Amino acid sequence: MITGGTANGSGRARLRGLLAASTSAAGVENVLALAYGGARVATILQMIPSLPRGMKVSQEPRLYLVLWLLAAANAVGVVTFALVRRRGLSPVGVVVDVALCVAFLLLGTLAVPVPDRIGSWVGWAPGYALAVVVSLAGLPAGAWCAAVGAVSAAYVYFVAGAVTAANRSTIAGNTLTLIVLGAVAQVVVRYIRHVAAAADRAHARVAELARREEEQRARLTMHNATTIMHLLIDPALPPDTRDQLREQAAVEVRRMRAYLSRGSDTRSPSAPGDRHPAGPAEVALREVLEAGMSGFADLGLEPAVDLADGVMVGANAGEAVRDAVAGVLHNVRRHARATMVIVHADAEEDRGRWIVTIRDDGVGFDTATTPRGTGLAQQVVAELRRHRLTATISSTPGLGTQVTIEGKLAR
Amino acid sequence: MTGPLTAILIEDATAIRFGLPTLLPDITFAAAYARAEDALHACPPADVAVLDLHLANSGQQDATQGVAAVADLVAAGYRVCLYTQEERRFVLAACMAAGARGLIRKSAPLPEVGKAIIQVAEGDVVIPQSLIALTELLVRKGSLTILSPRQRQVLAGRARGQTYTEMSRSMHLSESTLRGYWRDLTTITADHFQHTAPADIERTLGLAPGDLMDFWPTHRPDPPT
Repeated sequence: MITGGTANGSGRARLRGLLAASTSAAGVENVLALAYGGARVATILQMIPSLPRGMKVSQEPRLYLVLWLLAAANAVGVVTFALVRRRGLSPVGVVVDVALCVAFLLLGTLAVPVPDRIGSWVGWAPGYALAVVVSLAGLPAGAWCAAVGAVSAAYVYFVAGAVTAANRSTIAGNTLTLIVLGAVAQVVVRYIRHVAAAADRAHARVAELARREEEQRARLTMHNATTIMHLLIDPALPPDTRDQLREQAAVEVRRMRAYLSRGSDTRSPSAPGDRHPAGPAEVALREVLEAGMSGFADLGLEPAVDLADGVMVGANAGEAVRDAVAGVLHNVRRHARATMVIVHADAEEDRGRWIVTIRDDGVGFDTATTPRGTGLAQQVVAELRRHRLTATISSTPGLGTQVTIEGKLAR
Repeated sequence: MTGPLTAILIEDATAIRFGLPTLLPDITFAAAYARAEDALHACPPADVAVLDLHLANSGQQDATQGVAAVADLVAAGYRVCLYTQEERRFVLAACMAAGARGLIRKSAPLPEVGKAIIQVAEGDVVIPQSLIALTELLVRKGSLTILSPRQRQVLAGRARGQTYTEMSRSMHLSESTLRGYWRDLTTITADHFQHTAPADIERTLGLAPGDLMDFWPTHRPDPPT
C-alpha cells in the first residue's frame, strides 16, 4: 500500500523530528521527558474507566472529581512541557509535581472509601504515585531520596486505614515497589546519560580530528602552491625553470580548485594513482615516482628507478608517495641550491621491502636545530606514516640532504 | 705522466671551442677543431681528446659525429672524454661501447668539467650518474658478474648519491680505498660496455631485439690504457 507506506514513512519522519537533538545528551533528555509524559498519560487512561464508580462510591464526590481533574491536568501539563521544551521538569516543576502527588494521596483519604484504597483504580492515587516516582529518576541522590520518601510516606498514610492482616504484605510490597522501581529507574537513567555523555565526547573528538584533518589538508594543498608562487615572483628565475613552474602552477590551480569545490579531493586530476570507483587498487611504484618527479627537470634530476620495476603499492599509498616526492623536490628547489638530485628506487626482496631515496647535493641543514616546515613534517613524514610508510630525513650542512621512504613489498 | 696535461678539443660551437681552453687553465689545449675529421687528419699528440657528441650543423652537415666520431678517435689512439648535453643513457652507453673513457655534461660546473678531463687523461674512467644507475641494473640482472662484494657496495652507494665520506663511515673503509674500488669498478664497467654484444644487453634489460642497434657502434676499437 503506497498510501499506507507513505503515511508510515511520514510518521517515522515526524517521530525522528520529534526526537532530533543537537547532542546525544539532549536526545536522551528529550526521550526521557517523553517517556515520563507517556507514563502519566498511561496512568490517566487507566484512571478513566474507574471515574464513574469512584464518583458513585466516594464519600466526597466533588473532592474526588477535583483531585482526579487536577491529576489529569498535571499529567497533560507534564506531557505538554516535554513536547515543547524537549526535557524533563525543572527543579521547581518537580517540587510542584511531588507536592501534588503527596496531596493527592493525603486528600485521597477524604475522598476514597477505605475498601477501594488497595487493589482498585477507584483509589487511583497509588498508581499515579508510581508514575511520579519513576519520573524522578533524573534527580540527584539527595533530592531523589527526599521525594521518594515523601511519596512513600504519603502512600503509607493513604492505605493506613485499610490495613488488615490479609493485605499487610500487599501494602508492604506496594511500598517497596515505589522505592525499588524508582531506584531501578534512576540507575537506568544514569547509565543512559553516561552513555550519551560518552557518545558526545566521542563525537566531539571525531569533530576535532576532522577539523585538524581539514587544516592539514588545507596546509598541504597550499604548501606546494605557495612555494611555486614564491619562486615565480623571483625576477632572477631562469627562463627554463619558469616554464617548469608554470606547468606545475597549472597543476596546483586544478588541485586547489578541486579542494575548494569538493573540499575533500586535493589530488591533481591526471596523476596516476587517482582514486575513483572503477580505478585500480594498486599502482606501479615507478609510475608514482615519475609522476612525483614531473615538472622538476630543472633541478638536474637523475632518476634511477629501474630496480623497482614491478613493485606495486596501494593507490592511496601511491598518492602519498607521489605527493611526498613532489614535496621534497619543491623543498630542494626552494632551499637546497643543489646541482643534482638522485631519485633512486629499489626492491629488496630478501628484506621484504621497497625503498626510495631522494638525495640532493645542496647546502643541507642541521637536522638537530632546523625545524621541519609543512613540506617535510606533514607532506612527507606525517602523510606517509598515515599509509604505514616510513620516511626518514638525514642531512649535513654542506653535504646535501637525503629523504628515505620505505614500504613493505606486497606478497 | 710528467708536465701539464695536453688535450685537443673537437667542438662545433665557436664560443666553446675558443672559450673552454681559457676557462680551464690547468689543461693545455694543443688544438681545437670544429670537425673530428680535421682532428684525425692533424692527429696532434694529446693525453685526451675532448669531444662534443653532436658536430653536424648547417655549416658542416656531413661531419662525422656521435659514436662514429668516438670510435675513429679511439682508433687513432686518443682517450676520449665526451663533453655533451646528451642525456639518453643508452646513447651514452653506446659511446662507452665505442671506447669513450669519460662523459661529462656541458651543464656541469667548470671545476667538475676540468676534473673529469684530467681523470680521463690520467687513465681513469668517468661515467655519469645515469650510467651508474644502468650499471647497477646490469649487475642486479646478472649481466655484469665480475664485481666483488665491496665493489657492489660502492656501486650501490654511488647509485644513491652517497659521498665517499658517508660510505667510509658505513663500510668502515678509508676513502682512498673506496676510491680505488670505484676506479676499478668504472674500468670494468667501461670494458663491459665495450665487449658485450648489444643483443645481450637488450635481452638482459628486457628490451626489444634491435633497440640498441640504431646507435650502437659498428666497430669498437680498444681504447688506449
